[in-house]
Amino acid sequence: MRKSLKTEFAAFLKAVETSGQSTTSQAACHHSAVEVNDWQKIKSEIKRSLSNGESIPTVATHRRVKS
Amino acid sequence: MRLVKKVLIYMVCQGRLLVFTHPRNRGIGLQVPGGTIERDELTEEAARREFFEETGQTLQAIRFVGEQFHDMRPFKDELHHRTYFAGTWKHESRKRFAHQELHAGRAGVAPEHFSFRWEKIGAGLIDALAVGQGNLLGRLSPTSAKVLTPRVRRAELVSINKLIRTYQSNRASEHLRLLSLLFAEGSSKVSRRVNTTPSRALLAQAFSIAVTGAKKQNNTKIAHAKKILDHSDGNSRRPLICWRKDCAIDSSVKYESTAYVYVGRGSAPSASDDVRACLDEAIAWIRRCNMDDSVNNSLGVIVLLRKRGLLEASNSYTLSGLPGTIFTDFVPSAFRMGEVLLHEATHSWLNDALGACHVSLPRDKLFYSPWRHKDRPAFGIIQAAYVFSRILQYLARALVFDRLAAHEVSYARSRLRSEQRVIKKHLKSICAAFHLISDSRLRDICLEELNRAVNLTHPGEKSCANH
Repeated sequence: MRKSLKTEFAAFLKAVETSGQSTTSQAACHHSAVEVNDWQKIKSEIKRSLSNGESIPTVATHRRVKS
Repeated sequence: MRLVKKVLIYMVCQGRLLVFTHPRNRGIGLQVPGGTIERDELTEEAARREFFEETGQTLQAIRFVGEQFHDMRPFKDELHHRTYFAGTWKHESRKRFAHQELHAGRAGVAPEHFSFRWEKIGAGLIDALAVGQGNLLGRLSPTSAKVLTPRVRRAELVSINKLIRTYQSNRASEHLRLLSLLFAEGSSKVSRRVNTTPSRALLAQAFSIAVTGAKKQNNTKIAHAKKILDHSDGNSRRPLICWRKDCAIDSSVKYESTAYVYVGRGSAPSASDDVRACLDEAIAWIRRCNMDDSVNNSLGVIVLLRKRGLLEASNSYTLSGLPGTIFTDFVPSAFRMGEVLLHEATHSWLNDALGACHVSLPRDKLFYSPWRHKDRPAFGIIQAAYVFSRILQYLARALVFDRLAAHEVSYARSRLRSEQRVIKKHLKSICAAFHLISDSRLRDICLEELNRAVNLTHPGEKSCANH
């Protein structure tokens, strides 16, 4: 790596430190599937409503690109 | 829990409701006149007495509106049995007036000061009244609950949102200034892009990955930071939506799952129109439920992780180092995506509110988390409890609209039941964590949201709470 680049990085980091801007990241939340309370019960209630004839909606997640 | 009998009076004048605040204690919020029924006192007598004491005016013809039970936790360990009356204002009409309540015969009790004003009756006001006092407002006229009036916001919320806007603006300017040291030639390109939430989210991403790149002297990361800065996708006010294949991994902010930073794919965004339409409708759900305060300045970039089915729970997360960016799985239900977006945006809002109000929370005090099933520091439990209090309200409000599919109704009802039970069970420890918030405005907002969550009824199901 060029010496000037190293100097630029060091100057940048010094300025960041002086600014007091946070450079660490704390997870405000990780809402994980396993943390949903009573998920099995919720799931069975959704299943019951779906078995009453309602179809499961689907959505295309990616745009098709013409080759 | 102590049962206390209360009367409340909806005083109406030309389609407006008489409300008040305590100028010396604004934290209590917006209320209607009323008070406790004394022993051997008739309900109507109590209404007339309280109204006179609080407003200085006599109450003339009144009519019964209804009764309601309201759990006052976490403010007081009391269950209020409220009787509501409605009256029509016959006195001189003044836009605002003040009155001092004199507690005749109660030695040592300081007189209370009330600041009265008239607010237009409608959905916006129902939501603004403290501790559920607006719950029976819809009974004054059948249409009033559906009339979309400008939202009346709590003074504390207005004040904190103003602080947050300044805080976010300063943070973006500072990110821009620091990045300009590294990318002098790119600064003019990005200088006009600090006013939208997506542009600020991108700036924060560029800053985060540039710091890591500089620390590790990693040119690839620096190049990513430059690419993010040069991108014009953040100019729109609408959230930037991308799949994770458009993103570079930022391993510095790894947290259980992987964090990604947007590097874009030029003019061909990968999210299909269907996905975009679903997320637009998700945001519409949040607005419909009157909860867009939480998302207005927090939805900048939405990184979609995986596609999940309706029978799968989705993962989502937010990182304090990447404000304005939300990472989430995609479920093909606008209502459920609305819940996810609200959930994560509310975390971002609270992060910024804590920062803007200079709240510092102790790391050594631990509270049991009924969501993680382990002890967590105050920060974690405050975040979770505040967000779930808001989510419960979203679910309950959405159920009132006749627009959900049957599977969404089942989801909302069972989730509402389950999470409300959890919050009620752990109310004391949640409340103790909330009391560590040193800023009284923010603390009062958190407590009010908790009180609302505790008192939610389940639309469409039999309830004994309201009569």
